[in-house]
Amino acid sequence: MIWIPAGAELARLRQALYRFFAGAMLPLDQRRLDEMVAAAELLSRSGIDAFAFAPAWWEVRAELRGPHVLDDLAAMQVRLFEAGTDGALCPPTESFYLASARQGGPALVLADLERDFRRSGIEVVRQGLAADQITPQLELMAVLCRDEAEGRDCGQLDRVANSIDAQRGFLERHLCRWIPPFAARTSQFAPPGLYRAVVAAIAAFIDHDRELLHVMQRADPTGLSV
Amino acid sequence: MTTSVLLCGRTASPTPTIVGDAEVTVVEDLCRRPGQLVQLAESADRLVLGVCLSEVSLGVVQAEARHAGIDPLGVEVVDLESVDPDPDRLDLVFNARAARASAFAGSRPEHSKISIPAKVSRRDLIHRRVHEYIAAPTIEPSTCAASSGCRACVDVCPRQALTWSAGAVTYDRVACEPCGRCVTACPTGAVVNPATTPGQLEAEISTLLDPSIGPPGPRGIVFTCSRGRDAAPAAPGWYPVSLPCVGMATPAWLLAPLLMGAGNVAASPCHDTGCPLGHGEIIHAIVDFCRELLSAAGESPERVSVGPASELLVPLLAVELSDPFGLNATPHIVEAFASISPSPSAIVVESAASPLGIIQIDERTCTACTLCARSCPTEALQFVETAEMVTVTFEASACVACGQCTDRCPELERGAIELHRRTDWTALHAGRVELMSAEVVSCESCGATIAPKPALDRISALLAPEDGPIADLLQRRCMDCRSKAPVA
Repeated sequence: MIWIPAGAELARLRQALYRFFAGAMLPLDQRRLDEMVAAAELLSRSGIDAFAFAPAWWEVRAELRGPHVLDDLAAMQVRLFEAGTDGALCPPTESFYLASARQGGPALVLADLERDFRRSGIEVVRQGLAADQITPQLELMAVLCRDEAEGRDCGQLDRVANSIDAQRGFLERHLCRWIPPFAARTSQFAPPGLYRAVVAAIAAFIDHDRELLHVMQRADPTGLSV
Repeated sequence: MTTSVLLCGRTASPTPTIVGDAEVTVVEDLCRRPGQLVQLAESADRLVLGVCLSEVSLGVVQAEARHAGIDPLGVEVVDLESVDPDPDRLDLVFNARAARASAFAGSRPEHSKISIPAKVSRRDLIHRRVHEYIAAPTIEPSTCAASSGCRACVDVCPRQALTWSAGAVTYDRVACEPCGRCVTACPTGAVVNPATTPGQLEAEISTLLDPSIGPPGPRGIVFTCSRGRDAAPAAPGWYPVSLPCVGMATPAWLLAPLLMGAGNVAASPCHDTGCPLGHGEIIHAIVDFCRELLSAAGESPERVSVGPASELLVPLLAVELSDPFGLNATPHIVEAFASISPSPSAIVVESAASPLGIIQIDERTCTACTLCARSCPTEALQFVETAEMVTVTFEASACVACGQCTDRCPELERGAIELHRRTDWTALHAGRVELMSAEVVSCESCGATIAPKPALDRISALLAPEDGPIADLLQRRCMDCRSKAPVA
């Protein structure tokens, strides 16, 4: 019988998925690929089939199980998300999709994001990936999920409620606004394969997660019973 | 497409006989060990489950189905505790649900809306509440008429889950409480709920009315609300057909089963206190419309009711109907009733719930701007523009009374256009008729088209008396020529 995670287990499954997707968007080498293959198998046995985004996840798992050439995948990752003579085909950055629509452009998007990171107790260091990149944003969600799981373990109602509130707010203010156009662009430019499947799964997962958090809050403001 | 029917063997119900290809398997203790369905259903694409919903939660069933590679939104669940155990009735119910399952065309992840059930199984009480999914609609952009101003779905949504902005409709699944009103209000069929499609309804209802299956005697179809699991069980002879909300049922849906062999049809709201989404009045208005239409066609209005009637009437002679629950079913259904009516021309029903409309244009106030025709999502209103004339035409059989034309008309207050919510057999037979035509004014200098004369007359009338020379120039010269020879 399928295991249906709930409570702290569900929060940990979501944390693991956010971490998986955050890592999957980084430049690829053999070690990372091996870790992704192992993590995908482990996650697939953790009750994902109980959720509606499971078919999108199965695509990722199938791509990782299938035959692949590391160099081809690494080159595709760079072409799609990192660089090219005309820039990355599908930049995985919030400001690329939302900055033009906002007064202040990328600077304002980044300032907003850094404020959200600080609110969650995370200081943004101006090195490496910017806060408007997909990986730090997914990592932040993973941190918030871990916080929720720990709160549930300790029975700290306020901590759980605050964490769910923070997760929902971050999804609604950021990821759920720019991931759909990013996913649409990726499905347009990426050939069928791992990265197309990963981005489609991220889109399906965050769309589901936003609704799940909303339902959890509505069913029980602390979310503890769900 | 293979359909499996799995029944829990713990319940003493007899095993139904399924007509067609579906396989029936009785599984010992399926309610307590639903994980068994993975092995049993692995060769099937669609599934009908006979279980006790007090023992197993829908969320668990859905998770197991998904795990088995079966789309959970297409799984038909028959609650063995609430179904009539009479073998003939059981045959009929399971055959109908198998037909509905087979007609399910599949869903996408965005069709799944998470829900925490208010009613929990005994197992949930011991362990925890398990989420389940209900089917939510999606909008197909290629057929959506929002770009021409259509807001029919937005107007009927009781939860403001749909918003129109800049020629596009945005749907918020979190705010949506899927009732299906947007699905049946959409004039172009762009809003789709994959678990309640015309094909599924036709498959289920035509099976329920198949005289070769089930007990003899007249049958009634009662549309019930899927959220109202506590709704009173149907009376003998009545067979429930589940909808997300009975408020989504159209007059065509209530009338079509009568032409397919049902003696009666009922719409049964889910709560005694009325529809929690506020659709009670709509349901009554639609039933009243159907009753009036039946009367006009010389049939007993008692065939359609709110809630199952105590007595089932002898069915009408079944009529061959193509796509009876589809987008354009209403004119065909009216035609079918006309064919068995002693006086077809008497079929005229004016009602706020009329699914068809008649448009009238007042040539004295219409400016021939053609916005009405441009915004008509079903092309009931069309216009033809030549160098000399502009003509607006109308076909009653295509008008779904959505009111988009009247909403867009800039001269509505002056009575330029009027929508009569009327189902009129004679008008349906009239074909495409001309509603108005107006002369188009050409530039006296270059011969190019300026605008329809009524529009120029209206502009002139709106200009102040001292603007007479401008009005005069507007009537004579096109924009290009006006710029070359401005008013002195």
